[in-house]
Amino acid sequence: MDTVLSILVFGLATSGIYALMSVGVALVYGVGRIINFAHGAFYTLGAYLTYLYATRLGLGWWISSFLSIVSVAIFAVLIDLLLIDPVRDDEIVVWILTFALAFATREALVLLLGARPYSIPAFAPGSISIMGQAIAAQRMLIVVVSALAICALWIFLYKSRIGKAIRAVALNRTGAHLVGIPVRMMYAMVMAISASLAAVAGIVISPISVMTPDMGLQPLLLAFTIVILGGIGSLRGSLIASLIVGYAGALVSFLWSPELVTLMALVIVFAVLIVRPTGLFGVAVERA
Amino acid sequence: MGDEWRIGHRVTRRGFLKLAGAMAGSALLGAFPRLSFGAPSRDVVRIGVIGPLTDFTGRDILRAAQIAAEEINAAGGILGRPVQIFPADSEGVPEKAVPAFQQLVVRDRVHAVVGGFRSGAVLAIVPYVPRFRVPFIITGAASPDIMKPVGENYSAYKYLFRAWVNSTRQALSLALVCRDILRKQAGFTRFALDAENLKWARDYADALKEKFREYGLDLVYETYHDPAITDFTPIFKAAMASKAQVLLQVISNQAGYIIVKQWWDQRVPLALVGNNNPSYLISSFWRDTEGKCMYELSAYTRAPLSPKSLPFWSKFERRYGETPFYTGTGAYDAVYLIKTAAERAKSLDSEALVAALEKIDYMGVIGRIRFDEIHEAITGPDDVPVTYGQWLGPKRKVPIWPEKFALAKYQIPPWVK
Repeated sequence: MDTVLSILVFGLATSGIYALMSVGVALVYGVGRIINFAHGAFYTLGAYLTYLYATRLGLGWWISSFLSIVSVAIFAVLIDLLLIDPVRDDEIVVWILTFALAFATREALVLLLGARPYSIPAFAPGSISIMGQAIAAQRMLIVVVSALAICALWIFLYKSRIGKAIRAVALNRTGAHLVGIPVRMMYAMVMAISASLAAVAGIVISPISVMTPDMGLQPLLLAFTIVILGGIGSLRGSLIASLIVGYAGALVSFLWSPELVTLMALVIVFAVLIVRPTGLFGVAVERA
Repeated sequence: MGDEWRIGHRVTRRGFLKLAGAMAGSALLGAFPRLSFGAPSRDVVRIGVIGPLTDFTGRDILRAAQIAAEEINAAGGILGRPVQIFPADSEGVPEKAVPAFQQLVVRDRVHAVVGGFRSGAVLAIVPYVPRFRVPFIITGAASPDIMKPVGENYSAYKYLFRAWVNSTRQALSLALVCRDILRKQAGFTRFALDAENLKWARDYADALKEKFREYGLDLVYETYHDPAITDFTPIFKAAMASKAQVLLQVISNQAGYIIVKQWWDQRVPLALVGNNNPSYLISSFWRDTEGKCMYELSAYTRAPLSPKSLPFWSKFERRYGETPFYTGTGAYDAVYLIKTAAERAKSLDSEALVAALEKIDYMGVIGRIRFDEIHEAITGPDDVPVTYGQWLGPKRKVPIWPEKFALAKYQIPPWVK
């Protein structure tokens, strides 16, 4: 029972982080047709800016987190409008550009703050006792925040006018342009949303983990793995693939060894791609 | 060439220039931290510092070597010549360590090199030692394999020295802590081991298990984690399921912060003991873990190992606002070892330096330094000791072992039965 509860909570928290990261990657690809290697940098910046606002400006941790998410979103919009937009149709250039941005962010953090790890205190300190088992309250907070963020995204995309416009651009860029949707702004909007989700993931994970300039690399790789598994560009696919990889990872970690998690994720991806090369919900554009 | 080889749109001249610009930009960014300035002068004693210089492990090698160089220069230099430090960033990885070492020897023409962190990186340098024939005093990397060539082919590898404790001997210290403190004093009888899956840690674990058998200690669970681990919960659960009372950690990277925080948050009913490199950062580990390191017992702390130890720690902390990582304490001594050897040999010639270093008996910050037949520093409470301290408050990692330096008794964490 002890192990079952651990797997449930561990799997849900891990899936939550995976979902926040992979849905952003899927959204940017689905709408903007961009494979964004700088997505991990948004995750890293979210955590670092929170730390900097709180420690250098003396702001509270919750306010710092909010400001950090906004800052990362603005940063992402600027990147999209100033750097990506002029070369959007040259896929290779976009790959190199986003890769260089990720690298530049890492180097800038090392130069400005050094490579030493930093830490954010727990937003939900202490632990919660569930069936006699102590579970870090921060881990439960990750579950709640991830769920709320994903729900908010869904409502926004499917209920709001802007959300519908974003989906229209995903379906047919030329058609959307012809009916008067500001396509360029939609790309920037999607980049901002995607970056915000990554920033949220970086912020909520840091109290139980640690901040380093390289912290975004592993989540980025896992996000790409999940997006491929779910079907590139499919938000629903990414969400379900996050749960699959998160829970499979929890099962492998608790029943065998945490060392096997990455291998397990790749085995699942290979297995699914052999059976279904387009991924679980493999369509070029989200149509759900 | 068919269309199937094209990705996306046709690459135009403009597109190509953009691509080239982006690639040049990223290449420049990558090169920036490795730029160094200043041409070597024949009038100075040139000492190379190698390590992952953007990381605290290598940064403190450089900081400590600079302090030593300044002190030596203020006192007249070495053989009347000023000392100059030449840094080279190995980034802690083999593919960068070898060119960094070559840069020091070929371009900077150093008389000796100090530092080295990450056994994989230093092991990559070792095959080049016979070619370059420059004394290299290692102050960080801990794998015993690094020094084996000195015994196997002395004339080629005699330039290697290690002014620190190798992982086998570190493991011996942990086994003694388990026997003398955890079993004898605290009454623990069942131990679990979690080590990072890196060469030095594997060597450490093998040596530890051998000593456990010798001392009759019961190791009920062992596992090796990916160094990029972000969650120790499954390891805690498995160790608890094996009825362990103590979790022995062998960690050299940022996972050392994570394990402590998660151990505290979950009130894991296991005493946390062992080698945790971030816990060596006495001035910041408490702050960076929000005090969750309380009751952790781990290697390396501020202790009066020699009359020079505490003054150096204080000087370093005053200057940099932080206490030195162990690579720094060793590097400070290593620069003085070169000075002492050069003055005894009255020469900076490599052969003369090696001969003098072999006979050296120097009281340094890390203890009394003498080298054995394979140029490892002799270890033990009266030589170069491994100390164990327990976190009992902010910046208070109180020496617990060896008894010679102990200032308190080990305290069992209140939630551990």
